[in-house]
Amino acid sequence: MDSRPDSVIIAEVLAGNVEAYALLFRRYRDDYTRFAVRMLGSYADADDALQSAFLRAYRALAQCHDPDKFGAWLRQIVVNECRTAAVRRGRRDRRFAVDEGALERVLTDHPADGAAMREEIQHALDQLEVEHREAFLLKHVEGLSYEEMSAATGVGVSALKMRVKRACDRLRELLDGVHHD
Amino acid sequence: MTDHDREAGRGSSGRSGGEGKGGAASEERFLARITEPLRAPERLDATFESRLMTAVRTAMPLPPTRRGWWRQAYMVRVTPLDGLAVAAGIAALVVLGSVLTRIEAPPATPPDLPVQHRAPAVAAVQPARDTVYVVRFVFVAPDAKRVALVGDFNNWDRTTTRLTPAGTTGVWTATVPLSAGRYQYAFIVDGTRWTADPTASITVKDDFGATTSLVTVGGSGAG
Repeated sequence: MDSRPDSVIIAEVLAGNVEAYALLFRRYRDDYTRFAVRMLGSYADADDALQSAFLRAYRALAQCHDPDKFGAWLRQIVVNECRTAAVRRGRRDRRFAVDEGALERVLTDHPADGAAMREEIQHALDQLEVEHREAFLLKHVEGLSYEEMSAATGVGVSALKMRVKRACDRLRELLDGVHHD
Repeated sequence: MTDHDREAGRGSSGRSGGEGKGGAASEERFLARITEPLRAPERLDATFESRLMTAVRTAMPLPPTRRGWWRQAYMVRVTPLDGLAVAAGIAALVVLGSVLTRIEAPPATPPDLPVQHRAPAVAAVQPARDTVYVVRFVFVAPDAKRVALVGDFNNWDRTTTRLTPAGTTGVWTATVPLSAGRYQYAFIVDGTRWTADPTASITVKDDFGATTSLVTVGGSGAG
């Protein structure tokens, strides 16, 4: 495991060692993969968004003015890519008829199965507005502070708190029938 | 659970306006139940890294947004017939005018004319439906070891169009056949330093704030 700081590896990449970029990718792939998969609800869409995000980050690497904060800078790109992909996917999905009973079936078919639980929660997440889903995931799944979320999204802290609140309210409406306290 | 979590929990529990500690605790339990499964790790496709690195190896890095010691650049377009003579003349003027100073646009080019008449200077061939214009790029970089030209005409591939020393110290040139159209371009010095053409009238910024120059070849808007 390469323990050098991000800034050192970035300098190496910018000096011409393109292969060193893989080190940066491996450092952040897990966290950002989870976010992308949750945000988009699809491995294929997450794959596309992350390919685009990591490639964009590489192309813009010289513009990362604070290489010691590369992870936060990369997160901005990932969040933007996922948001764009989510909006695009939302438009695409609206071309298909909405199955109103899908959520109910998911909620009741496999109540004791962990994978099914994740699936049903994911299905509920998919029902949220994109910006609410994004705020909820960054806050409660990725564990970011509101200040970090603001840096990643460009949205003010107050607005983010409201988005998280609304996301929680909506999720509770969607999931309360199964996840009793 | 963080303070922020608790804050969000209180906010979410506020629907009835008076649930108090019980409501907040209920909200926290609800959040704990639904977030735990979501925190499970996810894995990318096994080919993800190889696909990414393949793309990275052929991708064109963008320049820093802060300019450093940019070499001054100059580009001129000419026809195949008189290209060499015109380019040589302009390059000579550029070199003479830029000794130890920055290079300005050609003195014969009024600053308020459309881009096709400003730098880069243009010598267009007679318009024809299938005309291919030969565009000669001249770049002055006395300290450079190598200079590449990138643009949307070569997919921003730094290996496609290398400028060669023009015989005069610090002057690099490349000739590119282009059909009529509008193109973005920039120079890359020593493989890492990106510069737009400082004499171009039109520049374009992409998503990352990188500045590229814009040139129109052929047509009424040629420039």
